[in-house]
Amino acid sequence: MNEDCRKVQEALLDLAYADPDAPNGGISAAGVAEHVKDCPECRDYADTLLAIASLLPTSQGEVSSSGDGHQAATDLATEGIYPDWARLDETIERGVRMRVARERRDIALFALTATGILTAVWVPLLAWSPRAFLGVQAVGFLGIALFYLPIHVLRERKGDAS
Amino acid sequence: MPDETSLVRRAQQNDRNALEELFRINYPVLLGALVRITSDPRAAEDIAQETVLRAIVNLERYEPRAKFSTWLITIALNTRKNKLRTAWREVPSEEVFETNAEVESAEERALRHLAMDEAASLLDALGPEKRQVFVLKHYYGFKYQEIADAVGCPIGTVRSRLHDSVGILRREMARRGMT
Repeated sequence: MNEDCRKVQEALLDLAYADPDAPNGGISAAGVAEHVKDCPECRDYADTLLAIASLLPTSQGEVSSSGDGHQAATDLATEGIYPDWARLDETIERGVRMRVARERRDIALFALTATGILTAVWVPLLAWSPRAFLGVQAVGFLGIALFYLPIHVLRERKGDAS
Repeated sequence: MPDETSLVRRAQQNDRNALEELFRINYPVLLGALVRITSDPRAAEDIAQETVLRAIVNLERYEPRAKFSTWLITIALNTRKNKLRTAWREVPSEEVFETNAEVESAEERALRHLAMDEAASLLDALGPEKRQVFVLKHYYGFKYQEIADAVGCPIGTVRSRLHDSVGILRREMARRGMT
């Protein structure tokens, strides 16, 4: 296959499956049409794309999957395949339980870490010297302010600060 | 009917009804893609169920830049990849097929044959990697980038696999006298 044919076949593919990520191969639709007219191999390729579209039809439900799940279910049924809805309900139930358990575990982990830091660092520090405690707190707040101030200023300049 | 974004938002806030509706809408799309990719309805259902479980647990990771079904199919492909990897590690290569063949009953075989029409058998001519790319592009309109993310390869590879798929289908259709 020569370079022109390769480019034309890629362009035909991109025409068949319109895609915003497809690179511009530097060949116009008119150029493709002109080439296909004179090249039997590329004409055959174009015919194949048409044949694929008619032999393997895509339904509305599959292409616009954002909304029409019912259509997709109907299409599956025509192929003799039925989703196991009862099993799906059980899986959703199990998923929700796992999700709740994970959220609880995350909260418990956070509480444990916070308690650990509090008892291991802040309480001994306060017992040892309240002045040192206040000093460390002041340094901590200053550090946080220095870290967040530039971010806040930049967000405000961009106009997306709430 | 509520739009998908609001359904997802409600589901992420643990609204059980929204969660159920979200999956009732998208499950047939997910299952359909898996049946086409695996050509095995039983395996497809297993992967789809595992995908639903993983999707629910990680729901807050979903960002509505892509369709929800696209996200589900991406999870499903990773789940399938992991399952295949485990199967190959656990069972010697020839046994993977022998065991499956033994377990499959006559009734299941008949059901499988019923489900596989002429079009599905055409797709069998493609290898697993090309078939995956072709199904996602042809039936589900995935963008090249989305396929690349789902399959885990560069866009150029996706394009070349799609191009090769057309060539293979052309030869297969000619062999069967379908053109």
